[in-house]
Amino acid sequence: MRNLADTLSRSEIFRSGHALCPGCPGGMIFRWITKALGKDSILSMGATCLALPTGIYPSSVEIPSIYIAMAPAPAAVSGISAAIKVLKRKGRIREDRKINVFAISGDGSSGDIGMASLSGAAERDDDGIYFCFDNEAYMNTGIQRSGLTPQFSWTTSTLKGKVEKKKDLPRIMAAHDIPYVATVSVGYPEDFISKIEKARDMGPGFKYFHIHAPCPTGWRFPESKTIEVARLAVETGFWTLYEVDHGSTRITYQPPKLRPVMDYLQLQGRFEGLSDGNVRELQRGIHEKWEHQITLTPE
Amino acid sequence: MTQSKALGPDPLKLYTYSDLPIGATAIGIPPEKRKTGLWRYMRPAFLERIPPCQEGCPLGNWIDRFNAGVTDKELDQAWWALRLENPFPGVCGRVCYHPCQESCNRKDMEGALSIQAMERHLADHFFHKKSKPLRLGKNQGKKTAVVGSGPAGLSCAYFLALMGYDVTVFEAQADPGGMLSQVIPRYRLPKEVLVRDLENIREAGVEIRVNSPIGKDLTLGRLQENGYQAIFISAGAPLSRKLSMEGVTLDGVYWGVEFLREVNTGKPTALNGDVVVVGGGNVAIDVALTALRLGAGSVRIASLESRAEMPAHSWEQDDALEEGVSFHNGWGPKRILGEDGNVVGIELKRCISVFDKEGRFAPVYDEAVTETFKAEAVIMAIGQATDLSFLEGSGIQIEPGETIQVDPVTLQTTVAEIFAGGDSIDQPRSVSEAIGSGKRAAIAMDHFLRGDDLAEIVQKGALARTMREHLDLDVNPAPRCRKAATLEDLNLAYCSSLPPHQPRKLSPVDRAGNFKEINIGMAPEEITEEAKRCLSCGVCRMCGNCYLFCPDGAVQLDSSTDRYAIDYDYCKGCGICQNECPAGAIVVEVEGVG
Ligand SMILES: Cc1cc2nc3c(=O)[nH]c(=O)nc-3n(C[C@H](O)[C@H](O)[C@H](O)COP(=O)(O)OP(=O)(O)OC[C@H]3O[C@@H](n4cnc5c(N)ncnc54)[C@H](O)[C@@H]3O)c2cc1C
Ligand SMILES: Cc1ncc(C[n+]2csc(CCOP(=O)(O)OP(=O)(O)O)c2C)c(N)n1
Ligand code: SF4
Repeated sequence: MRNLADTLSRSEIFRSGHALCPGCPGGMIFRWITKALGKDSILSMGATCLALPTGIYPSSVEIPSIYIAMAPAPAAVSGISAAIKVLKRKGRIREDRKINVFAISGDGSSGDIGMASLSGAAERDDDGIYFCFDNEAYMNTGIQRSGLTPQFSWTTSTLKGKVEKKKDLPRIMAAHDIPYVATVSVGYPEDFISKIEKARDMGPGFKYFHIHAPCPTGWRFPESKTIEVARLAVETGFWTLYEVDHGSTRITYQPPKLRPVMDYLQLQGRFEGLSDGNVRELQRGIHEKWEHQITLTPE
Repeated sequence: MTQSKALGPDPLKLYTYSDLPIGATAIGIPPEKRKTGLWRYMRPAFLERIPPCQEGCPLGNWIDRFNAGVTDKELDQAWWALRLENPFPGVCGRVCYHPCQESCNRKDMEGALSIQAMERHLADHFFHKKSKPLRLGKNQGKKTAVVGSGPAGLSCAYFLALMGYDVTVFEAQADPGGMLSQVIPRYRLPKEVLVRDLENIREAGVEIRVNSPIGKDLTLGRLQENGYQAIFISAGAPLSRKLSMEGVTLDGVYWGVEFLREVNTGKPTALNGDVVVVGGGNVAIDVALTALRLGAGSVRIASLESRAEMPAHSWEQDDALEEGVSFHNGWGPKRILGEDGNVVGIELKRCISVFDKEGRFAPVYDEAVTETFKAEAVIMAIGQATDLSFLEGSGIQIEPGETIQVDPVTLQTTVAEIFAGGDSIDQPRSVSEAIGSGKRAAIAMDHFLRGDDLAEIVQKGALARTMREHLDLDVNPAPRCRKAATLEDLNLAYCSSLPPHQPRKLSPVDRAGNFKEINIGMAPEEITEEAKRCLSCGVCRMCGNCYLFCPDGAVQLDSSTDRYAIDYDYCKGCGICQNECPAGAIVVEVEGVG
């Protein structure tokens, strides 16, 4: 049987022996992204959980990477791609050589602290792929709420549950009118990788990926359930897989039938204290979102 | 290197990290030294389980393997796996009662997989192709004999031949195949299908001597004197069970097996007028449909059991209904009515209950409630009986139920070098059970002929039931776990709902008056689609989930085996591979225990 595992490169550019938590979705996405983009790539790594494998000696990432503060990961993409352009013009790099510049950073870095930098890189349409690793809180410093933490979620800074709603960062990015915006999930590797390949093979420009990445440590669920939680987020409609390709939006995976949001919530300790009213409100939010987003889907 | 390291990297080799100035970056130094496996307190491991279909197959067919072959369009491999375990793929693909499908995990979802259709498809596909005979063992230089060439006998002979023994089959009749050639109606099992399977069996090295009954002229003792070092007896249950009742000797009264045997061996048997068949099993249905084809005006089946209790399978009952046979359930025969020595009718009596509280056959009648049917012929199909008179004086013990006494595991009789199986022993009477017993006996005989201590092997639970186990041919991780995979073991998130495909059948109109095969089978595309419904319960299908999802890259393809393997130097024991294995082929245990 031919399948994704056989079509992806077998070589591991992201090496074993890193210090991510057991069950961390970051290990998967790092492997997939580097397999899809290949060795001719340069990484701008924001100071977040996923910087551990690149920042701790010896590094697990076998490509040149710059370990940078939280906010400026997008700015580094701008700088690196500008440098490549200059070096090509000077003939120091062959003109036809395709070097993939990409950044990975957390939801706090992307949506809160580094928002200006991200928005700027998108507005200038600098060449590169930006991956927002959305584990829905500032995890590396101990599970503090971010603008992308979902409503009612426990964090160490929202002990009774977050009051505000989750910021819809992919839609903000789509509003920048960049060539490509995609939402992906670690539970759906085919969808994830086909989108990376699409972005990789596009012409120059800023491409934005928003990765739904369940965090066993921060969300309080057993580390064996990372994919199961990711899958349930999509199957309940809590997270939606879509892309905005040069302005046209398409849902890339339609769950056969939306499951009740409780199926997703009940696996996670961070939603332990939810009242029935809270659950109903989340459920209503999902229905509203779906009605809105499905109308966006061109047939 | 043309440049000094202190000047920085050669821009044309921007990615050759060893050229980078020392201290500039740590990239390129492998993190291999950091053995993150030390973090682990739970240990995942590949551990395949037995698919329930295989557990349900009396002959232990390698179902997941041939099914995978059909899915992947690797039909040669599928055919190899099928022939390794089953000498009668064409026959089983048609007449096997497919108990495998009863235990299929899809059964309670959208319906079981048509495993039988898969088997038939492979047999049909290779019908006109020459298949290289399997050879699994060196020539052993030892002679073995088999009595009876039914499915049990030929199965034993086939496997003995595969393992390198000289084997001769002694068959009383002129045609080999036992019930397959003598009684099973052609509209279910075309002659050429049987002949093709027999060809493959002969090519495996089996010699069949027809018209050679073992008994008076050629005794078992003579066989032993002639150097046959182990003998398998599979004489079947060739007789109809008889019933003494008023009118059973009239002209126009037939007995099921003998009736079918006459038809199959070409004896002219014409019927007309009304026919009543007595019995509720598959044989009764075969008799009824055969009677219709021979010209009967109407056919009624009278059975003690209700429709649901009838031993005949539901699909056989459906065939009969389609062809206009009527069922009279809850009636037993009281007497057969005659005039001038010929049958003119039958009187039935009401059967109130068939089984006692313990579920044993113990019919209770109300003699006062009767019904009479006009009939030109009455055919009794109430069971089969063995004929073991030829074993007299051999020292082989016979059970009270007129079956050969055998050890339930080794199938050894009370005479050490003689084994027995099929309908001659006390086991369910079916083709797959017969083939299974022949194979198990062949495996036990192999040990016996090598001088192994059979009792000790059995005690250790080490006597194999399949060829792949016996010859250690399984390239997968060995099924250490003898448990069958249940639905709970699978990750159904990876299973989409797929409706079953049904084989096509000849319309009742096209069946009338001929013996053309009723079942037409499935189109090749349908077969591939059907095969894809398999959930591969308990068996790794190389989907690669474990490899893709491992955050630590600790699951990698082992190029020496082409299978996935876990590198415990880096596995942190998160257990995602186990959770995401669709097939339930991975387990997680507490580290350091067991
Ligand atoms: C009408 C009918 C329909 C059936 N349909 C099905 C079906 O659809 N599916 C299914 O699974 N099962 C079916 N069965 C049951 C199945 O046919 C038997 O269980 C199976 O054939 C038993 O195999 P066997 O090798 O033990 O015996 P048999 O097939 O009976 O073979 C025994 C052989 O031994 C020979 N023999 C006997 N005595 C001697 C001797 N002394 N010396 C030499 N040879 C001897 C006989 O001539 C015969 O060839 C059916 C049975 C009947 C009667
Ligand atoms: C400008 C700046 N402020 C604060 C920090 C400290 N810090 C390091 S990681 C981190 C949390 C990052 O959270 P997020 O971006 O959501 O990524 P995660 O760790 O959750 O993947 C913080 C606050 C920093 N490195 N740089
Ligand atoms: S996940 Fe796939 S490859 Fe891994 S063990 Fe299970 S079936 Fe095999």
